[in-house]
Amino acid sequence: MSLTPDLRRAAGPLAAILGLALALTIVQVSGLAFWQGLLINLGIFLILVVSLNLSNGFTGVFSLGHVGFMALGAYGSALLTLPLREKHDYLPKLPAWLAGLHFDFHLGAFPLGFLAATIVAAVVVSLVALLVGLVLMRLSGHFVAVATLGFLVIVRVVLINADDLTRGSRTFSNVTAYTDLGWVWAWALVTLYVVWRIKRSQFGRAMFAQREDRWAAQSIGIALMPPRLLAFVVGAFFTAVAGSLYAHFITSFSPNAFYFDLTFRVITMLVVGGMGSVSGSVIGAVLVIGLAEALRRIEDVTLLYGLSQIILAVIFILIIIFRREGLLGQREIALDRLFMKGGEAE
Amino acid sequence: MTNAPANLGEPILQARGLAKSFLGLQALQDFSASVRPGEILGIIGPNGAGKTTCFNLLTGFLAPTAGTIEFKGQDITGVPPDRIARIGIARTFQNIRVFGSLSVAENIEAAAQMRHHTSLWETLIGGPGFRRSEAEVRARAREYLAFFDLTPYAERPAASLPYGFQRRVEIARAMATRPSLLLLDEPAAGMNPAESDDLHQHILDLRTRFGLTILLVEHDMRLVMNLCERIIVLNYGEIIAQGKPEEVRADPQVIAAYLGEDHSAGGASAAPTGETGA
Repeated sequence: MSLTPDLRRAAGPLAAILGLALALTIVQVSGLAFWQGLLINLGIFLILVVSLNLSNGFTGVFSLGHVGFMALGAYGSALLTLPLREKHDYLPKLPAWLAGLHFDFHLGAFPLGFLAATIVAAVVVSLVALLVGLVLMRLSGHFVAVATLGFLVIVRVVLINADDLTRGSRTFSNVTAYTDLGWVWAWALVTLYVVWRIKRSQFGRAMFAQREDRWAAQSIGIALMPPRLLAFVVGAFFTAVAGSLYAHFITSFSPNAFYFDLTFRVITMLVVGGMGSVSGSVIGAVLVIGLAEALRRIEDVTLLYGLSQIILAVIFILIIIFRREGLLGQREIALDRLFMKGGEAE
Repeated sequence: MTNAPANLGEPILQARGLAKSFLGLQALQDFSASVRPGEILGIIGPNGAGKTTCFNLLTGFLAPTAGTIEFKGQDITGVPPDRIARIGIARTFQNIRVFGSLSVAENIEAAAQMRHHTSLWETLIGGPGFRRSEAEVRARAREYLAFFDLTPYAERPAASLPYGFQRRVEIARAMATRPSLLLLDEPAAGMNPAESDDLHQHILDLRTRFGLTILLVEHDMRLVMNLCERIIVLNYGEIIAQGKPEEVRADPQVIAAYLGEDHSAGGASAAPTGETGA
């Protein structure tokens, strides 16, 4: 073949993206609501687990609080896109500047306002993550898990009590249903791309090095805080994006949606796939979502409700016992090597 | 003795009155030493004499209770370890600390990247700056892999290698930061005489090839006595002797420290092994 190495490097990912686009178009056009919902769900979880992998898997600083960022992203973006009339009816005590804000600008048929609301919310959440991270990323091991769990609890309490902004524990509803397959998978690809790039760079090496041995990392010039903070903040950004996509998908939600249940589910995907492996996270998300769906059908037939959660928990425990590094460990299925010749991998 | 010190100019490293105490335990006191460029200086002493504490102070992993450290005329007292590495002091650890689940190549690359910085933006778009610096880091890592005969193991997880190889990975990793001063904490631990001879030759090669200054903590007396031009002996956190190997070996205080007071007169049998507790 006369293709340049660069083209061959790009061929694998391009083929995968084209295949994905084709599949998504078919599902979109077919009008099969079940499959559309399932794939949107999968895409959102993919973003969640890949960004959690960035902060937990790459750096080894095990955060349990990421779903808190998702909640902030969901509420934040929904507040920006909620139509003025709904705001007036449901959230009468909003501060004036928020009450008059409606991100509904379009570019032709393209809802630019949704994109802007998602990015604004994610940036604000990243700043929150930066502040939280400056304090919590100094910890490690069990301490950081407990402290970030504390963050999750605090977010929930704040959401429930910030009545004026969130309707408290009541349902926040009438969010515009912008999210579709295209939005979710475009964001999922951006997340995958960014995390993949970071892994194969100086930043990724610094993260993995300080995960493996903090002293050794410092002895070769790697400061501990910068890579940890970078992972935490970028992870929070995409987690907030997933929150925004989720909010504009199910259109009504309450603080309960973003709590232990979801946290546990995302962590299961991460651990099943492998801490540190981006492709592992994709596999983990596909497996857990697929399995949960299949088990839910069994529940419907056998009327053994709760069975799916029990089985997922058992699988989680088995993986922890028998294959602690998960299915892929930190190895990758490298799409960019798919069409390359032997000696070109450098 | 091998080559004489290459250069008798200004000291590259100067410690003055260094002290460290842990909850009242004086681990090191009044440690003063100056290291000349190109020198190989040994630090020996029984277990618990303060050798590793001394290394940890010099590399910023511990902050001294008193005293100052100067490196190339610059005060580096209390500077954090990652910055110490950046200004040219590299080290290995007594208990091997490789990045176990990373490949040998990745271990070296993580160190080789210290002197190549790419911005996050450049990294994300995969621009020419990113590509160039990645290619340089990899090329440099390959160089060090080859120099340390680690090329055949480049893709293996570091933790899967035998002990002696992991030590070599650690030294290669330290060298990949391109230091001017290298601190080796018991590099010969667990090695047989043949391997330790190998190490001896390797350390000399390193000095010649990279113009390196070396500080060595070691229990293998044969290695220390043959390799070092100068030796400092610590006991209970204090310097009890220093000088050329033959001077140190003959010093009654050193013999006493290693063999115990009672044997100081007659104990000619054993060479100091450092196995006596402290």
